[in-house]
Amino acid sequence: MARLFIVEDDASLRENLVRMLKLKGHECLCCESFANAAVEALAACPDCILLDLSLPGAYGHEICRSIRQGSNVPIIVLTSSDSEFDEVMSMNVGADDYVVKPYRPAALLARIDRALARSGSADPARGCLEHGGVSLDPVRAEVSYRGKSVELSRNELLILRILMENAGSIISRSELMDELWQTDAFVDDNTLTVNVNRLRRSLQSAGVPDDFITTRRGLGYVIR
Amino acid sequence: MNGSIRESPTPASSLSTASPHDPAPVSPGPTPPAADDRADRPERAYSFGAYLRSRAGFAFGVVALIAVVAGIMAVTGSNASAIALVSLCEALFASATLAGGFLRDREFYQQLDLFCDSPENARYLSSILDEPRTLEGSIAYRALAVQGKAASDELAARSRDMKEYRNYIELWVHEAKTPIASAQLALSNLHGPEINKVRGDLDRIESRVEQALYYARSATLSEDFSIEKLNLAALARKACRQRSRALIGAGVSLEFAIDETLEVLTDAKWTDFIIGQVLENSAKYGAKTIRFESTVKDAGTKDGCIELAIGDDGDGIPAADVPRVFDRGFTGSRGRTHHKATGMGLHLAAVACARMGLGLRVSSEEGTGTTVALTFPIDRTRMDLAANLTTS
Repeated sequence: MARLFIVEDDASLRENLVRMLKLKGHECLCCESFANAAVEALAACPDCILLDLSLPGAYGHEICRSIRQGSNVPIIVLTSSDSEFDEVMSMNVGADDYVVKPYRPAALLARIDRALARSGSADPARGCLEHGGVSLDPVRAEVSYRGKSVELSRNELLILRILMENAGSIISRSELMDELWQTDAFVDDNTLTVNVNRLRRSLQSAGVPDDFITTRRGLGYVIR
Repeated sequence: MNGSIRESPTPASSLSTASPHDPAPVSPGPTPPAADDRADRPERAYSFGAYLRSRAGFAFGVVALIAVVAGIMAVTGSNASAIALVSLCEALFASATLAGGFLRDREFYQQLDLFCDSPENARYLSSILDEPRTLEGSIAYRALAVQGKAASDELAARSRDMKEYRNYIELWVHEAKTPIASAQLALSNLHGPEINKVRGDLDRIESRVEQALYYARSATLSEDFSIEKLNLAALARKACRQRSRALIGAGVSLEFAIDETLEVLTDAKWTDFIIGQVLENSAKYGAKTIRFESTVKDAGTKDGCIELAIGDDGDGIPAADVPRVFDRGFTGSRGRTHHKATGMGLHLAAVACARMGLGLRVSSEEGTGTTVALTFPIDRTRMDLAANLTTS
């Protein structure tokens, strides 16, 4: 769990961002006054700062520069401008990453995780998933059941991770495919079936009960 | 593929290479104002012969005058040598008047004539030419100056309006992106078929908003380019990732046959947009498989290029519609029945390709599929490319 400081003027986007980040286990603080954004950000001692560039009465680049002068905290710029100027400028004033709106939530989370890992403030225990005796460490890409490790391919690991992260909800086949596509594994419907079946067999051979991953016909897969 | 084929008009037509199996392009595209026209138009050049012909009335009058004077002199008993001398003097005087008039106006009219061949410069005419000394020339000159200034003012006002409009669209697009981002975050932890449908709708809004931005930018395309060396396979994969939900929703399988080492000189954002329009069309019109294939053509020659062919097994385009796929606002018979077509996607793609010096070719057979081939010239330095942008 990391402490994130958010500088974003759009109230609706801010609320949704905070809600999503909190669900993923992050602690969120929001900027109250944009004129003092840099001071507030430094006072909050966050692990990572999410900064919008276009703010009322303040310049995102200026805030970024002021924060960088006082701290080495990772800064991720979130903006709706895809201009090269803004991107280069952000990097010049000390931003670590540049994400253009609208962004995929998963992509943003991955960038936050990467920024945290680079700055060394990532919690090593964070991200370990455990369900029904099966534990998964996404950072080390290790799966084990009752102390016995299970060998999984990259796609199988990703499928298992998504299902375990959302244990209890039905994940549709297209959602799984979408997540796989985001990692450049452009699987089609048949390949996904093969991957899921192979994942089941691997888990079964380690002794995981047959019904660990349940198929809901026409809906998708679920881990209960 | 033996169907119909359409090439987008490119500034360098040598870049669009048709494969030997392809039939000749149905339509070569709008032809540029042909230089040959000049041979057909009536003689306009300000030569002495032409000048004389236009002064035929004066010459005729002089001849008549000489005849009359000679007649009078003959009747009043002047001798032949006196008549000849007076006639010669009159002829010399008339010739000198004609020659003087020609020489005095020659520079102005010859320069004026040059402008007939470059209408785009006609507005600046009065600031380049000196005012002629003759009465008619001076009036014409002033009329041209006033007209040129009016045209320039009009043009400046229009381009200011357009720039403002473009700025507004850009601002609007950026503002629209914030609520889209917000809505996507709000959906991020919800699962189920209804939510997926909403996600799909959001993607469609995003894609349309993006198209509006690219349309606004296409007017000032050369300012928006940043040409870099980019990995072709990575470009194709990124375009697929970004449109994953539309493609998965349509049940499309992807096949990649792109040489991983190939690098192309192009603008990342625009190329992503162009590939994206092709992918969205494929998904919209029944494709189940989309295959990416790269080919290096004529390597080592000045026409050398890298071709990215994006082929699908969708509904295809009726032969009658193929020649018009790049036309602005053209939706075709299938597009109209789908009610989703704007007719802007491929048009913008063709405009961008023409400006960037890339080739774009569509070949299709109804019922079999469509292949869009995008060609990137190899043998081009950045400067070469930049020169192309400023002239187009």
